[in-house]
Order: sequence, then structure tokens, then C-alpha cells
Amino acid sequence: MRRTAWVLVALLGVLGAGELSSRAWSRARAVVPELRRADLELTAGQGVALGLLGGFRPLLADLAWIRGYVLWERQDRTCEAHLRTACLLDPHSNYFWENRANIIGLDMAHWEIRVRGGYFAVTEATQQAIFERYARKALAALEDGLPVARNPAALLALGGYLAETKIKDPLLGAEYYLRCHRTPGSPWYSAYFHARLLRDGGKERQAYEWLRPVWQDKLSKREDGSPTELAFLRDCERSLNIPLSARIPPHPCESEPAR
Amino acid sequence: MLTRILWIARITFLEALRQRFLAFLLVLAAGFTLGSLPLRSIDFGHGELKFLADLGFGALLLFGSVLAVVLPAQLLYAEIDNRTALTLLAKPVGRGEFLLGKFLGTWAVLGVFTGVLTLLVGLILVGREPMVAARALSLQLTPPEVDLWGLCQHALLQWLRLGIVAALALLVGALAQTFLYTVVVGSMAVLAGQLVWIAQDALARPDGSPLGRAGLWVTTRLFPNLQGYNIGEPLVLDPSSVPEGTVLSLVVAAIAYLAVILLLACAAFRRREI
Amino acid sequence: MTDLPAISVTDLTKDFRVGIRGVKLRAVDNVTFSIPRGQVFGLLGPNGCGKSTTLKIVLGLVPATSGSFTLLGSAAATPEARARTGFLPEAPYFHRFLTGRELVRYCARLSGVPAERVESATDDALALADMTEAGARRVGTYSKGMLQRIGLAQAVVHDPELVVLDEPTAGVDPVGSAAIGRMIGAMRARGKTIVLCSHLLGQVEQVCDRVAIMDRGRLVLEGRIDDVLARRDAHQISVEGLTPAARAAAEEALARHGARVTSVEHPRQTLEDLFRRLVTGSRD
Repeated sequence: MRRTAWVLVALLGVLGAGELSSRAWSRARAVVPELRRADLELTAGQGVALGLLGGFRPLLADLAWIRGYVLWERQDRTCEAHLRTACLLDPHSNYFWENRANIIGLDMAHWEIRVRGGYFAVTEATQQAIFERYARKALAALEDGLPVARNPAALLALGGYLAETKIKDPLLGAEYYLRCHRTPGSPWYSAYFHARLLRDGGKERQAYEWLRPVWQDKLSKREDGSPTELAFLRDCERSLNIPLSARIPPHPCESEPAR
Repeated sequence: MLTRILWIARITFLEALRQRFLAFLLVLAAGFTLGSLPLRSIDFGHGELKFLADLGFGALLLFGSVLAVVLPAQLLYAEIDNRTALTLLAKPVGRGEFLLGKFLGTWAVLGVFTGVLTLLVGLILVGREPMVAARALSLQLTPPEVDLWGLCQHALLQWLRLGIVAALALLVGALAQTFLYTVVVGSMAVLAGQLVWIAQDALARPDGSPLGRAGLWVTTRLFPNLQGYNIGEPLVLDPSSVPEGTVLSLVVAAIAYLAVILLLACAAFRRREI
Repeated sequence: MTDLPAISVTDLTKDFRVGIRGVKLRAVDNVTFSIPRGQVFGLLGPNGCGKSTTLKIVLGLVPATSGSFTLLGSAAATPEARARTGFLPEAPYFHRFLTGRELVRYCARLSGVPAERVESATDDALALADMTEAGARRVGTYSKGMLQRIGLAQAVVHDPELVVLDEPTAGVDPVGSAAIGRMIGAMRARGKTIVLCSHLLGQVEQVCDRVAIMDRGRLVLEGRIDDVLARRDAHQISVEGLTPAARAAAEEALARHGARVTSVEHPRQTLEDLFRRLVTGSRD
């Protein structure tokens, strides 16, 4: 009887301690880099187990990146697994996410074209389809990095670039630049690129109506007055035939040489 | 009772300090930490301070874990094999007092190990901070800051974590018959503790069969989640990102686990034949 | 309370499980004996006969399979009973980095000696063991004999009522053995009860009041040393006496020769002879 009581006490103690530990983990996990289990299983054979132990993650990430880099130099697509491992092991690093997306979105398409016989053997339409496919894959990789990277704005800017130049979808690019503009730490050109791509996508009025208050409230207060954005707005005013009285008043930066 | 426990702890501490294995691991861990300085050149965009901190904390985690498994097993089996345990237990010393004394002495040594390595990491970070901050300012980036209070908190969490590992090793040692078995099973228990977060994350999701979820629930309660104690980098370099109450909740959980594991170890040791 | 035996063992049995199959090995087999207070009790037997296991059970180091025992009146090896007991294990090993004095002081604290009395108790114990000068040296520098003596000091530092010595003279030279024998005598003179396990039968014969002999886990003999060593199948006749009739005749005969019978005694065999006769075979 006494022994049973002690066993019950021990069991309750273990469960109680476990409950406290679970609650502590729910607070702590927010600051421990997240490693998604699904991705973990794909790269389990590449030393991730060591990385899971919590220590040496950056060093192992670097080693995984070096291995991936060597394979990239050989134009070997298996480099992607190593690049993904590096991102998983050190998810806060912008360098890994950006360059992984660049390699997927910009380089791998060319490798595949070469494998298929080169630029003269593959038709333009097929080339474009290949570029688009890899660019979308790169965008998916960037989306994975957005919640955890230190500077998500940079990833969104790269997403806009890939959407514009490789997928050739200006509206998709505009969406990425808009998200970038709304993210803390966004580059100065994100608002301009959003508006420009909206116009390129046939939404000039929407572009003008969006950029104008942004320029007036924020961008015009910069030291140089953001003349590039103002020049864009002037173009829109002319092409949309905005009445003179409704246009943006003259601004000192318009007398300065264009950037 | 407390006097006897403390006396056994004191002698255990003095004996542990004389172990060559401790000196070897300390030198190795310190060398690894100092080795982070020349390795900075392969930092592909991490914050330099983050890289230095992670490497130092990684050395503490890896070598500290090895020490926390091997040292208590070594000290316990040395007492049993040399029969000094016979001499002590024939005195009015309870088996639980003996085991608690061994644990406290070992834990004190682990505290010294943690303190030395944390001091080394702190010196490296504080030494590099001005140069890294100046470089960040020149690039119009936010300069990183080293939070010494965060460093102290991380040292406390690591000491508690190593205490849990040592207690687990003593629990296995109280049940096992050989030193090798104790080290192997103790190491597996540590690995389970480092990976149990996967089960906790899986449990947090709503999907899964009731049986599977029950298994996950039992697993997450049985094994202490040691991964949760690895928040050194945010504590030291970005303390504002650490939710309030995190450190306190981790400390409370660690104390609870220590109490339970040591209780189980004492109960197991009572029936052991010396 | 003082009339109660220091140790009493009743039907004590201990089985060990050996090997993967867990084969039972009976180390102590229904042993019953009693050790009165204030005496020196010798527990003898060949290697592996169960005498050390019996002592470990009584001291609470090993649980018994069945049977019962008392230690200084307690029905188990309680901390209170162990606080009044001192133990020197066979081939003692102590922390090598401690000095002899530090070791004895450590054992004093563990045995419950109050802090204010620790130094004086340590001095007394070292003096009894003739280790006062060597007490400042590290235990790792001690010879075998010195280790035994410092072990004796740690066993008696808290002035116990009962002292259990397991092979205290093993590996010790004759001079050292004699010194340990004198220490046992000194402790006995102070009224302590001493349980002595030893292979030095000559020494046991000299110092012990009672002996028990074990073989293959069983108790084969137990009693006062004079009683167990006396040979009843022979008589020793001193020059002065014999049996009444023969004595009378002898006396008359001896008287005719001018002698007188002063005593008639049973001759003594040596303990070694008795031991060899009772124990089957050699264990070496």
C-alpha cells in the first residue's frame, strides 16, 4: 500500500514537472529558431540531428552552405537540399534565404535549358516557362523565410524582382513591393516599384492614387524630396489628364537635376 | 541530515575537481570557444556577435552535457567499486543523503564549468562589441549590444539544465550495474530531452488520432524539454525578443524536474545492493 | 538495555541472483547466533562462506532474503543504531587526496560527532590507531598497514559501542598485526563490543572471547573460545592429579614417588587444528 502511494506520488510529480516544462516551452519556443518537422525529415541525413541539439547551428549552417556552394559551382541541382538545410539550421540569416532564392530563381533555369540542349534548341516559350517555374519555386522559398528571417523586407523586394523579370507578372511584382513597403526596414524604392508595376499592369490610375498620398505624407519629407517618385506622379498626371488644379503643387525638388 | 549531505557534497566536489576528465573537457570547450575568433571570417552574414555567442554556448551545451552524464556516473561507481560507499553507508548516513550529497557536489562542479565558460564567452563578446558596433554604424545598421544580465540568466539556465542531466545520470546509475550502461543510457536520455520539443509541437497541432495524441502527451511529460533552455543568443543579444516570464518559467520547471528525478533516484538507490 | 546482545541473528538467509538466468546463489543459509556486549567475537570462515555478507546484512548494507536480526537492540540497522557502530571493511579504500586527519574528521562529522568535539575526537582516534604523526600526510601515501590503522581510526572516532572489523590485519606484517591486536585489546578494555573477521587464527585465538565458524553459508560452530577449543576425548593430567580412582591410584603411586596431583584438565587443541577439521577442503 505504502509502495503504491509512493509510486503515485512519483508519477504525479513527473506529470506535474512535465506540465510546467510544457508551459515554459510555449514561452521559450518563440525565440528558439523554428525547425519545421516536415522539412526536417527531408534533410535528416544531412547532420540536422546535430543541429537540433541546439548548439553549433550557425557553424553547421555554414558548413551546409559551403557544401551547397561547391555543388552550385558544378551546376548540380542537388545543391538545393544543402541550401535548404542551411536555411533550416539558421533561419534568421537573410543571406541564406536571399541567395537560395537567387540560385533557384535565376541559375537553375539556365542549367535546365543547357541540359535540354541550349538556348538555340529550346524555344522561347519553353524557356519562359522554365524561368517562370523556377521563379515561382524561388518565391515559395522566400515565403518560407518571411516569418523567421531577420530582414523580411529584403526577401519581399527580391520576390518583386523575380515576379517582374522572370515570371513577367507586373501585378504580382507590385503585390510583393507593396508588402515590402509595408514591412519595417523596407528599401526607399519599394513604393516607387509598386506604383510602377501597377502601371505596367494596366492600373495607372490605381498606381497614381496610391502613390500620391504616400509621397505627400512621407516621401516628400525626405532630404531630396524623392524626385523619382514625383517624376512618376507627374507622368501619371499627364497621361491620366488630371486637371491642373488637382495636380500636386510644384515642389522644390523638381528644379533639381533628376536622380 | 543537511550537515551529512553537505559534507558528502564537499568531498565529492573536491574529488571531482581532481578528475582529469573535467580538466580535459574544460580545456577542450575553452579552446573551441576561443577558436570562434579566427572562424569569424567564414561568417556569411550572421551578426559576428551572434556567431561568437552561438559557438561559445554550443561548446557549453555539448561538452557540458558530456560532463554532466559522465562525471556523476564516474563518481558514483568509483565509490561503489572502491567500497568507500560501504564505509560511508555503514555510518548513520541514509542512502538518499549519500546520493543527494553526490549530486550536489557534482552540480557544484558543473556550476564552476558553466561559470568559467560563460565568463570566457562574455569576455569575447564584450571585447568585440565596440568594433562590431562601429562597423554596424558605418553601414547605417543598428549596432548590436551585449546584455550582461542576459548572459547571467543564460548561465543560470544552463546550470539548471546540466543539473537535470546529472540527476538523470544518477537515476540511471542507481538502477544500472555498470558505468558504461549508465553513460550510454544517460546519453540517450539527454538526446531524448533535446528532441522532445518535436513531440510538443506535434501535440500543439489539432490533428492526430487520440491514441497518438495520448502517446505524445505522455512523452512530453516524461522527458524534460532541454531544448527550451537554449535561448542564450536572444537573451544576450536581443533580450527584448524574449517574452516576459520565460526565464522564470524555465527555472521553475527545472527545479520541479530536479526534485522529481532526485526523488526517484533516491528511491531506486535504496534497494540497490552495494 | 545493556543486557541485550550487541548483535543477534535469527534464521538469517541471503540469496543472490547470478547471471542472465538469475540463478539463485545462497550466500547465507539460516544462520542464528548472538554476540553479547563487551566481548570480542570472532567470525571465521573460508573465503566465500558468507561471513562478510552476514555482517553487511546486519549493518544494513545488503537486504536479507529472510530471517531477522537486531543491532544494539534495534530491529533493523537504523541510523541511530549505526551511529553507535563503527565499521572497517575488508581492504579499505579511502579518498586518496584527503589527509588522514581530514578523513577521520570527515567520518566524525558523518557519524554525528558534534562540531565542537570533532577535533578532540579526531586526536583520540588517531592516537588509538598510532597515526597521530602520519595524520598530516595524504592517504594516497600510506602503506597497507597505515591504511588499516587509519581505517580503524575512522571506525572508532565517534566512540561507538560496537566495532566491526572485517579482516583488519589482511596484508599487514606481523608487527602491524600485533599493533592492531593491541588496539583491539585497548578497545575491549574500554567496554566496547568487537566483532572480528579474520584469517589470522592465532590472533583470533588470543584476543577473542567467543567465536563462530561459517562454511558454505552455514554456521557450523559457535561458542566460547575455551569451550570450543577443549578436546573432550582426551585428558591432560598434570603432574599432581588424575581421576578420582585413577587419580587416587596415581596419587598413591605418585605419592609413593614423592609427587602430588594438583589439577586434571582437558588438553587444548589449536584453533587452526579445529578450523581445518571442520571446514571442508581448501578454498585457495
